[in-house]
Amino acid sequence: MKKSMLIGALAFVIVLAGCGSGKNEGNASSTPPASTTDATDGSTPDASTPAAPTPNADPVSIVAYAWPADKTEENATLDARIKRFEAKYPNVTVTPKYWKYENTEIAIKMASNSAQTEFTTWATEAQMLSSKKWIIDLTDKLNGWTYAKDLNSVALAPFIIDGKTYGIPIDAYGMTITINKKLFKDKGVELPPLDWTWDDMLTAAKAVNDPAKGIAGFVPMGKGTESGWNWTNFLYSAGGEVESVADGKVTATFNSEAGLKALQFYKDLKDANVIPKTWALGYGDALTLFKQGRAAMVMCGSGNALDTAINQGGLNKDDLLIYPIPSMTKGGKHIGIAGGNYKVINGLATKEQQQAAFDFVVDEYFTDAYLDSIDAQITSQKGKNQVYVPQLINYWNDDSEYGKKYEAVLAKHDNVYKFPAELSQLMESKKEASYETQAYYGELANVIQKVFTSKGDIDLQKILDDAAAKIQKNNFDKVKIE
Amino acid sequence: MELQLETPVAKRKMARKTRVYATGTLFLLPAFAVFLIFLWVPIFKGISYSFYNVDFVSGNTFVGWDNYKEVLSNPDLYTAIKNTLVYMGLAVVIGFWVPIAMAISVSVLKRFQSVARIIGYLPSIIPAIVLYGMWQWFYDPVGPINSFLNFIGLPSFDFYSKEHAVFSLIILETWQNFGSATLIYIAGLAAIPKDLYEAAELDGAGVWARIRYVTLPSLKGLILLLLVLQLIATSQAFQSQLLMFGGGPDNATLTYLLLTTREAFTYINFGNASAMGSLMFAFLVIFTVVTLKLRRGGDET
Amino acid sequence: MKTTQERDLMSRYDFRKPGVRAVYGIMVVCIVLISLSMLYPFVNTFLNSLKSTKEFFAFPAPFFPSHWLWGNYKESLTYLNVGLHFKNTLLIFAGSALFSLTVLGLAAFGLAHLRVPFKKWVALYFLSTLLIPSASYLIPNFLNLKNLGLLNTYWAYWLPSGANAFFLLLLRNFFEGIHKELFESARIDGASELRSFLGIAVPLSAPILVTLLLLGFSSIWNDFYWSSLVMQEDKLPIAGAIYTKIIYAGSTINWNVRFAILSMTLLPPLFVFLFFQKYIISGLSVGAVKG
Repeated sequence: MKKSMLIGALAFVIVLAGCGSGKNEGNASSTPPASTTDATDGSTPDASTPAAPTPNADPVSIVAYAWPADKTEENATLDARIKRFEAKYPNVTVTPKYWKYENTEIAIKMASNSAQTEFTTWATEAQMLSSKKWIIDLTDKLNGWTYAKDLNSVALAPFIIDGKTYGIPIDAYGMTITINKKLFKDKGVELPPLDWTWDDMLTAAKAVNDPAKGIAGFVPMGKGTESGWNWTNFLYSAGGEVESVADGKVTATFNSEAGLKALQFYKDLKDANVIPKTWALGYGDALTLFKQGRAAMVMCGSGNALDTAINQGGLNKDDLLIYPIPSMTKGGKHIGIAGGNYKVINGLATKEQQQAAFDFVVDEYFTDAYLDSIDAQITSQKGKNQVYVPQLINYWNDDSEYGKKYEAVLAKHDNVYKFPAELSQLMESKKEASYETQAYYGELANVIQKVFTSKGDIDLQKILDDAAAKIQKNNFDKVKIE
Repeated sequence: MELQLETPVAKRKMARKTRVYATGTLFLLPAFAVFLIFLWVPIFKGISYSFYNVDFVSGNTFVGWDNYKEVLSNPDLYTAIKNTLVYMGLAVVIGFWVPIAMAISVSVLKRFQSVARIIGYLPSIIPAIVLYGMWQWFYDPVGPINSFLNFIGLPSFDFYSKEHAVFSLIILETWQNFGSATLIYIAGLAAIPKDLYEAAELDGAGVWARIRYVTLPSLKGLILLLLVLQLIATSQAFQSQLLMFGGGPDNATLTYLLLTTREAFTYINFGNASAMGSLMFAFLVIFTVVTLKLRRGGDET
Repeated sequence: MKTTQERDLMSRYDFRKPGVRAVYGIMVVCIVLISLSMLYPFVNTFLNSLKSTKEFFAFPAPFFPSHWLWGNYKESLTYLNVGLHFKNTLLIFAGSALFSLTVLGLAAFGLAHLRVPFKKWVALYFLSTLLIPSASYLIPNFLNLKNLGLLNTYWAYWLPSGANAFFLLLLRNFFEGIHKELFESARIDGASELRSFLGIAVPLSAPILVTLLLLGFSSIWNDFYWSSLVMQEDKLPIAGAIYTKIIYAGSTINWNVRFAILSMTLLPPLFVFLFFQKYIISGLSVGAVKG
């Protein structure tokens, strides 16, 4: 008997999401632009005062995106930042409020207009939020901001839709493969080269695989939309595209030759028995297997698996490696999906609130205050015996003056994970498809599950064609491009 | 004269009848109001969403039956309906008798009866993280069940295959949910007069006969009621389908409500989700009314 | 009328038959196995809460921690004011139990034993609410509470708790099981219907009332999602507090510490169950109930 089905049931879903839905999130420990309480920083807000506040402007109050209660330092930093901001803009009152963005809750928050004026979200949400007008177009506001041109275009890309910018990056990542080096060492298997191919990956997975001990060579996600998200990296590295847009029409293209090759690769992995029989693995499930040392390789946003494996799973940082998505053939591109954390502005707020929220969000971008907050965070992680895992892509350009300052901050500490320099040269990030992405991922989950659970030969091309036809009819044909 | 005599009597009768009705109505009034304010108002608003393109920013726009057309044109809908019916049926076959058996067993326990009474209800307080993590481990190829099977020389059982996924879910659901029904049956058993057993035993009825002719008939009403409630609950099942298998493999565990939830929370399409809810509601209400009409002559006591 | 408590379905005489004893033995074994499977997650959660993070994720997982790290509990308490949120949960539960059982009890009694105009349709009015999945009116439901100004007040739980068709159906079923003659004779004695309800129906239905208390308790205890939307910060019940503060997506609180909190939250319901269970069978059934 399941009487509490009704609302109570949702509870369970969410709890699981609690340990699993991190798919779209960036590095959990990354801090958005914020600064320490250091008073001297506050007095040097440098040149970023384009929208000079008129002294007799009408009072505006906005709600800022606060941190969960356990992040006491971050919340203290935010409070200090609010103080500095309010001193600069006396007509604005900023109240921090805690509600963490969740795709299961955002609708209720918008329906009741109780989301913060500015909030943090992730790259996969861009299309949905902008199409529902829950977040505003920031293009004009960015044009009036001194530092807009200094933003990293790779980081910015996921939130540029039809030429309009809807979000400001905090940090970003490209998809990578995280490797548990220890499992390779234990079995005496040599590590594949960093500039690796699909074949290298399959060979490595076969060699390190040990089903009797419950160890899988590679753990692809197979449950929920994240399974489609995982597979799309192979589609991309085979040179494929999810959809094409022409003459105001969206057409499914993932059933191309590249798509077939990518699906064949999944079939090869399955036939080689290097993936877990328990295919129903969501983001959290896959990372848990990785933390348990039951997965030699796992795929997710650059440092995320590494970060949780070290700081939550207690793995040694020297036992972990980050590889780019393998290229299909030798010398090919290592393309992974781009993702990250973004600041967006609530579409239900008044014009004045939106402007104030924008000013608040960008107030301390590119300031020393932000770098100091990173510095403080690394120090505090050191105290907890944790390792700081930087994001591979930041909102600034790495070769900029600001990027160098950031490098200098990282260099001061010994509990910072260092990526090989070669990695960022090999990696190439590509933004997600722009239309009906979640529906596509959802449909792909079925395709992947067919491959993972079918016995014997199956017609991969037909499976892809069927999925493409279905999604074309149910979703893509209904898209209206403005 | 006679007429004159009769009138006041009839009047009194009428008055009494109204008074009787008034009392009954008074008893129902608070519940009536609470249901209206906290269920029917949102339900109707929810149903009205199914005729709109829901937009919290620029306001809703009326789209007529478009959402329904879209929902009905989705091939997954029919897969989901089929899966839901199969699930409901299998859940009855595999799980429905368990709480009855458990309740009767517990009631004849000589020792530790009090603890046994609630033991089945314990999973209801275990957090989902723990619960589903546990089942994932139980169903793992190197987990305890398969290790045991291998140990006694049997091949491993693939709990995750397309054929077995529904079965795996029902085992999990039964384990997790039979406790609340057990509690209700135990309450029902407590209401059976003990002298009935004594009389049956004196008549020479064995234990089985007593269960067959005393216990089960006494619980008949309750069993029917819980059957209906289980059918309602399983028709709306989605949580373990979502958490264990995400509706897969290849939609094998995609239920009607999982599809609805997906529309609402993954694709954030409330028009469609409401249309699906309303369709289910309309169908079940019509079904209920027809059943009531058909049964009208009979057992209304 | 004077049936003893020791006699139930089986008598002492039954146990002398070897066949019955064998079946009884098998049954006991089954119950023991079921009980073990039910207790496993409790024990496992508790032991995991005492492990180090490394051991928590070790595979194959050791059943017992190598060192019992009670410090995890101390740390967990710095993240959550368990007492406060526990108190909130109890407040929500007490108010909801009182309100829902009163409102639904009266209605169920009315449906079972009183004359009500259009009874069938009235019953349908209540019971058909079970037939629509709540996901399809989740948002209107929330907006409704908001418009009524109930958000972040206990009333947001207490009042809607009366709108529970599941409880209503069960109560009606149990009230219907009570002989009509009892109420007839009470009426002849001049008792009001309310008196009959309180004096006869309620005491005779103690088992189901207690059962419903338990069901209500665990549904509030587990309500992570709704409570975290309806209530805020210091008003949150324990489930909502854990969800928003401890196990939210992206939480960096260590898993062993999270499990320490989860372990603590497993204890109170256990005591509540153990306390209430004995009343499930304490109803004065004898002769008063239909066979």
